[in-house]
Amino acid sequence: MSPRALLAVTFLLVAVYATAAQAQRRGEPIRGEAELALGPDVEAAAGPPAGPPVTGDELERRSWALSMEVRCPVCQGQPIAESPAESARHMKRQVRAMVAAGYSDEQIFAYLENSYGEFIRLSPRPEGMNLLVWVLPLAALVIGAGVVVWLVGRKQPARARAAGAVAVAPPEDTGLAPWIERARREAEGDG
Amino acid sequence: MTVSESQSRAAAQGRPRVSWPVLVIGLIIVVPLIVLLAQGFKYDPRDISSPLIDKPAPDFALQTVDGDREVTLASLKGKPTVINFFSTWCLPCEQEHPMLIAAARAYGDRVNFVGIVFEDTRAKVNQWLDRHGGRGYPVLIDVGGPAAIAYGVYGVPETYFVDARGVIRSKVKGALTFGTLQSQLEAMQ
Amino acid sequence: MNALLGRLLIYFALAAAASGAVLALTAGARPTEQRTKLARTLGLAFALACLLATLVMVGALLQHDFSVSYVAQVGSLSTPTVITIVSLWSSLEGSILFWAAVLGIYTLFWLRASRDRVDDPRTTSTLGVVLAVGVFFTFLIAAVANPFLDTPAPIPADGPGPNPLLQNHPLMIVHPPFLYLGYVGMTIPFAMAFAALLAGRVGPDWTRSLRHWILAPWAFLTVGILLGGRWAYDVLGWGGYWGWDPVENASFLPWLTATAFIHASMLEERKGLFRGWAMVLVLTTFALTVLGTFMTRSGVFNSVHSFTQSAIGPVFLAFLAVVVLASIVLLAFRIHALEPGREMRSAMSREGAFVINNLLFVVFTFAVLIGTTYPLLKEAFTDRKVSVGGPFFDDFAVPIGIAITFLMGIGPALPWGRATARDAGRILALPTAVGVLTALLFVALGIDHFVTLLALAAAGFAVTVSFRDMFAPVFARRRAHGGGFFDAAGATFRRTRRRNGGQIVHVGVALVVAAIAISNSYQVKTEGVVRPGGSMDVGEYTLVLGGLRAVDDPHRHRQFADFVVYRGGEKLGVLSPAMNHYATSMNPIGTPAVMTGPEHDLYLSLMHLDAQEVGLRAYINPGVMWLWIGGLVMLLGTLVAAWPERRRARSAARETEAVAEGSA
Repeated sequence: MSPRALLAVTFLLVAVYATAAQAQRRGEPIRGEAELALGPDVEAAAGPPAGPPVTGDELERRSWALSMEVRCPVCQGQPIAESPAESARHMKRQVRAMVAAGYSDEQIFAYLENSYGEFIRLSPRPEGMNLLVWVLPLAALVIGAGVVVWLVGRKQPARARAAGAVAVAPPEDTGLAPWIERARREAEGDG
Repeated sequence: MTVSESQSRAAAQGRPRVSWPVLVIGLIIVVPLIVLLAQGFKYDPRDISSPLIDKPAPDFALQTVDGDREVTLASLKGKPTVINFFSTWCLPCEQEHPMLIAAARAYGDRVNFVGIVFEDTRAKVNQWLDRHGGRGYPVLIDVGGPAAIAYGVYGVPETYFVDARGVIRSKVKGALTFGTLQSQLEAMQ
Repeated sequence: MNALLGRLLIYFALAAAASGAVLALTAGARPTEQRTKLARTLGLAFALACLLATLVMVGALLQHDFSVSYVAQVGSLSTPTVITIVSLWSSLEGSILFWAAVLGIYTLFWLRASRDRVDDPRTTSTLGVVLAVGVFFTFLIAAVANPFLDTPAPIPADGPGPNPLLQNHPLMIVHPPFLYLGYVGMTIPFAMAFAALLAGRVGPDWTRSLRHWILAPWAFLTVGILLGGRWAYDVLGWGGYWGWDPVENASFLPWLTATAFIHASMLEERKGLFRGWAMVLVLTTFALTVLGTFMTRSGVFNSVHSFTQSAIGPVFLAFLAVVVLASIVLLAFRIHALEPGREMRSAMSREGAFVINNLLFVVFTFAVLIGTTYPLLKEAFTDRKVSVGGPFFDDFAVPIGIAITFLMGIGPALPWGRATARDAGRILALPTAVGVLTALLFVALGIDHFVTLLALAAAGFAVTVSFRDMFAPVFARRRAHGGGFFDAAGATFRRTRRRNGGQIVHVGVALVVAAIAISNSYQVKTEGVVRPGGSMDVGEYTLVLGGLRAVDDPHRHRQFADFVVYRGGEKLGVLSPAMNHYATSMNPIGTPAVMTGPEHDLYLSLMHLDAQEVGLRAYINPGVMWLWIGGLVMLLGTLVAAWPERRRARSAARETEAVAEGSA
């Protein structure tokens, strides 16, 4: 099979999996646990649910995904999805109950932030100043890639400079070292 | 010209060659970082301020630990209320509980005192109450944690001061002293 | 007596370091033999004084000499002997002393290794910088966090003992020393880079030496980080091993830049490329270790390690400022003195792969650094607190990690210089096929999450390249010279040891990546209450509570719950998670029990325990075993690569002649 065909097959397979991608499923969803009746304060604070009640796989998937984004208030930086603390489990059930009642992700976050503050989100709300967290590293990537492209691109001046350096180069560390090095390298066969 | 030639020329002119890009980029990255870290000393990373200050206190409907009745926040309106979240496994809670009992007696009918149990069991709480100062005000069991979630409790003990109209005026974390209690209540008048 | 002796030794160490540093750094480009010798003697004195002071402290701990302030702080008559020794690093003052001791050990090694290169001014400068760092730490001990103070009268008869977490698990005994060996070890490469810049000379010899000196702390740091993960897994009870906690990140940041340097230095050594950049990486690595220590000890960050808060923060910040500012200024003034290297002909080459490797590692470092410090920034500007946790870090770690894994395969496969697209396609065809097969294999095993499969494919891809790189020369030699496999292997491996070591490390990294991918793909979790005789099911296992028992140690009371593990009716063994009650602590600390297997771990953790019932949490964590195996493989590879060679010059000379004759 020619390399090109092999690559084409690979791409095809990759595309198939990409379309079949699902949300990460680490941890067991809280199936079967008694649903928490939403207390009187929930509707007062969060308003009416944005959508229709949710059940089945979508319920588990959404409540799981949300739980991975909510910080356990009594732990060190763990999501409530993974934390064994009692508060975390209560919150997990509350989140699940709210998803089941039809509340949207934003409403649920808003409800929790209303009492805990923005700190309860494991990832800051992607707006305003918070965007810096993502933008700065991405900027570093873009700038770095630009520098790399520029470095590879400038060939002529470097060659002349190198030629000049060879002609008037200051003495190396120890006279014979670079030659021994090179010979050894070639002997090692990893040129 | 080669490096060594340019270096000697620079040296001859008496000024060292400086790579301005390195200097500028380095300082741009490093100086803000150091300043930021220095600023960090001003803050306590564990002290998360409550967003509920000056907002209406969330309602709750919880059973007392004795199991004989249900208490709602709505029923406590009209008078200032002190809501104390506590648990039996927390040392500062042990320290402040006798003080709270005494305060409840001292303020009598002028102020409501309510205790809400956090992450604990009914049996343990009853034992603990008997050991550490008795009962002087309703202690409610937060089954499933809705009250703790509604109030945004990050740990125990946390005490909320709610005024007569039902608005949260302040939150105190850690063991409460009588002095603090007094000043918070006075601030609410 | 002990306290006084310790104090005197520290003052002596401080004096030796200060005078040695001044002497060595002012020696200039042509140090006299006398000055150099004196500086080296002072360096020796510094190292020995630090080590002696540490021995005095250990002695005081073992004697339970409560007149020494640190012993009164962490000592206890009821602590077992091993823990008593280990409590040297259980609290701030002792751990700074330990730091100085480790620095002393590294200084001794440097003095020994550099005794043949004394006429190189860079050697003396290196010692000078190391001693300057030593000045900071001995000053810290002497003036800010002194473990040798006299306990105010009345001297107590007993002490509170070290933090109970330290006594809870043997890992706590090894995790800190390995991290320290890693952190402190970065001082030598830093000093070497600083010295090279001061002299304006960075050449292949010095770079290779630098890489050797960074390999050991890098290996220690790798092991230390993995031990930390293992500790989190074995002790904290949530079945995970990494939480992007600020202190975890603190250890990860210098590891990233050190790894980038190891690769950049190979570029420098072979092609003379990016000398200045390689030096930047080394200087940054050390700066990040200082930053990391600051993050752990200053109390500025919200972290699991926050029990080590202290007033030492501002001093460390000042030291950090001095280190980075000095580095930047030195770089700015000296980068022109470095000889420029040859040009890079094409990006599609091994050079190109190294460059992209560095780019990815540096961006990763940036992302982790920004994520860790952003909450501070936000609070400084808006007075509100935010969290930056797992989801953010995963946004960067997952794609960068997968890209790096692919690159691990592409880099060694491509030749130096330039490769055409066709060459690349040909070379990478087999690894790509194996990668795809790996992914398909795991699909058959039940994994269907795309990103996980991509990571596994990348791991398979990289491992193929590594194995081919190690064994293809063996087969080539057999074809050329005949003979058995082992003969050919022996002959080839002896000459390609360094390269093979690197390939073995790559295999280890691939295993770690695969383990992380698998363990994040799913987890089965059950929790409930079990009474004696009762049982609980988790996944394919049934756990039956056999009974409860208690064990009393002098310093703690342990309660075990013995669970018999059945699978499909067959008894597999007994797992006994425990609750530990320490005399000095209010809350009990649990110890999970783990049954490890190649497919998954069965992990039991207690929520509560009393005479009538046990609250149990049971997890099935897939693939975790491979994480630790991958770490061991990385360690093995490092040992293979870094093992000191003897008779090198002689055999090299012989090879030179042979090659010269052969190519004539």
